Amino acid sequence: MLYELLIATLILVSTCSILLLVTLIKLQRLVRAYSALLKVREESSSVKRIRKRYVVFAAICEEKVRNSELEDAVSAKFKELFSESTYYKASPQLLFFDENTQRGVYRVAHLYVDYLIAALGLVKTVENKRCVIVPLRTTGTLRKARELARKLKF
Amino acid sequence: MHYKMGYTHVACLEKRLDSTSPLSAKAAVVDKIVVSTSSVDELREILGRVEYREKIVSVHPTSTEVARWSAHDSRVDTILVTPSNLKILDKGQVSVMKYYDKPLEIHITHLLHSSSEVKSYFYRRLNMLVRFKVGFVLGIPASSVYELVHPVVVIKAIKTLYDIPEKFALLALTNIPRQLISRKLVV
Repeated sequence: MLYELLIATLILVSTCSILLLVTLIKLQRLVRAYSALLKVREESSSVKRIRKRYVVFAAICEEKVRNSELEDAVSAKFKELFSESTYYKASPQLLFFDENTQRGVYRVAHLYVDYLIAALGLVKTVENKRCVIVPLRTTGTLRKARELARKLKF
Repeated sequence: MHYKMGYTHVACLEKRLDSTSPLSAKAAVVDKIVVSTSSVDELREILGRVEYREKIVSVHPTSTEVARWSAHDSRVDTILVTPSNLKILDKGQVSVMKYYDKPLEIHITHLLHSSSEVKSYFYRRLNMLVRFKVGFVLGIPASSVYELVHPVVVIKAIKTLYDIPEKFALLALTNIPRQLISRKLVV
């Protein structure tokens, strides 16, 4: 009788320990998955706020182009290349364009600077006038951008 | 204008130098030949006649056989890929090109102004080249100043549209073509 009881206890203990081990392994996996998720969240939230960038450019055209004409051409090209949704996110704005020197400054979200530069440079016609737009510099402040637009040589 | 845009070495099909401009003297200009063929015998015959030591020889293969053959011929400088012969560029071709260190030539206009189908082909092929670490040359078929694209714009466009790392795009516009052209200038 005592022998049978001992065997039953042993079986019970071993079953319990196996169950405990399985639970532990599952718990360990859960902890790993959760920590990985936290890490990904931390990485994705590294961009705390969208900053602005100012792109200084020069337009070389057959004839002088106007502010609105250039803006239309650039936005159309941007939408053609990178879709409308990217255009809203990037929100490029032509801050100023000197029609005499044919130089200007574009403002864009810092994540989409490359997109704007690509779209700017690939504009080939502005209101049926052949054009080449050359991005000169990218800055973080408007003041510096205005200064560069005035001083930079091309 | 080429020089002003930042292009110091130019290989072109037709040379028309403006001797009055001081800037035109600064840019190194080399002749270029494009051989388009689908038979190896014809290619061999053309290469026999061409002054490959002075001119950049670019082969536009329309068959896999020619593509493989031109990849290991030292007289050929680049292998030109256009939407018409895009299908010749498979894994085997890329590995042969890697072995013989032969760069691929792609024109910017094809990358930017093709149909979505062709662009998707180019996307896969370009990323395969990057994975295999095979160099490529980005060509700009421009006959006038207004058709030129600024090098920075080319790099940004390739980076954003085709997910090519900036480093590779930069190499495709600077080091690889410069090596090809300066090799011809020495001779």
